[in-house]
Amino acid sequence: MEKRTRPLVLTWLALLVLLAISAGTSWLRLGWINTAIGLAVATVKVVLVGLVFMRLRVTHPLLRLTAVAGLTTLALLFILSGADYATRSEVPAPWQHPSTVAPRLGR
Amino acid sequence: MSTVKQPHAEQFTSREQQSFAGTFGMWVFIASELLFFGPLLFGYLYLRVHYPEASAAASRHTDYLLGTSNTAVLLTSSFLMALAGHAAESGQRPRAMRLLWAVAALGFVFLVLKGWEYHKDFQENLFPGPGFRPEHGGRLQQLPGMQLFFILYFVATCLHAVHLTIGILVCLAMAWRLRRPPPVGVSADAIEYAGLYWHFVDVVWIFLYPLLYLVGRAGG
Repeated sequence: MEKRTRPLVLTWLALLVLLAISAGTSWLRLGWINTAIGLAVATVKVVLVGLVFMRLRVTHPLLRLTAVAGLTTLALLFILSGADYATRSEVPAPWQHPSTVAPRLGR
Repeated sequence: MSTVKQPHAEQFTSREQQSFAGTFGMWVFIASELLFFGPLLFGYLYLRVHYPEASAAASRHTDYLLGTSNTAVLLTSSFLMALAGHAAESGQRPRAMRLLWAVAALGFVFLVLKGWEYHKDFQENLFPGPGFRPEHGGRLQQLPGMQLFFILYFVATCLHAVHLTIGILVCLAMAWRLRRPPPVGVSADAIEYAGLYWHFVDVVWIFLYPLLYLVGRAGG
């Protein structure tokens, strides 16, 4: 293993181990913790890919800032849209079978 | 090792500045791509909050084995892409070329597995619409929520597949253009930009995988 590519190989192995962890734990009946584990493992994987494969670990701070700015914008949009949905109650329309509704053609 | 100093475009003061501007541009593009995929993730959040049981029941209908193997394929392709970037940077152009062919091949394997999965989904009547009839599991009142899950599943995975297809074409073009040395052939910078894009597509899948394939796997 070349010295320069060693971090890449180790990252790849770590990613596969993480995949095995999330795939394996999904069969345990843990309720919402299943989703939490899945998302936590995904986050660790993304951090590994970002830092090592996309070289954010060694790169110029401006590039790291760009990545964080993208994530922050997404988080803001999640909060804004989420506030809208979280403060409104869902009032579903009564379900009607199409055959019971008189066809309204034209006006 | 190519020791010949590469010329830079006239709007830059140095080659380093030019490649930094390129990488910066690529990161801005990736940030905007994140916002492009973001609404799908928000739609998913809405679905999980409003139809928790239906989305868990629906996620049990996705193919666990194909989804997991596809994740392994993409992670490996990302690893090879990172190796290709290193090889191109240190002037090992034939090695970079071979690695890029391998990355494109793995991307193609992903698309084939995904296509096979779509075929199975269609056979199991999982495509949203009048013919939506999941065979096992899922109560009648859960069907609207399950359909929403599968709308999201098909839109998200299709959008990802489109991005991956573009990535494969970029890899093939880069591998082809690596035959000749720069400035006629492609520079190591371009391999780096292509790599960033490929890793981003991988990142999207890393998040889609647990959300679409794993959430309700153990049973509700």
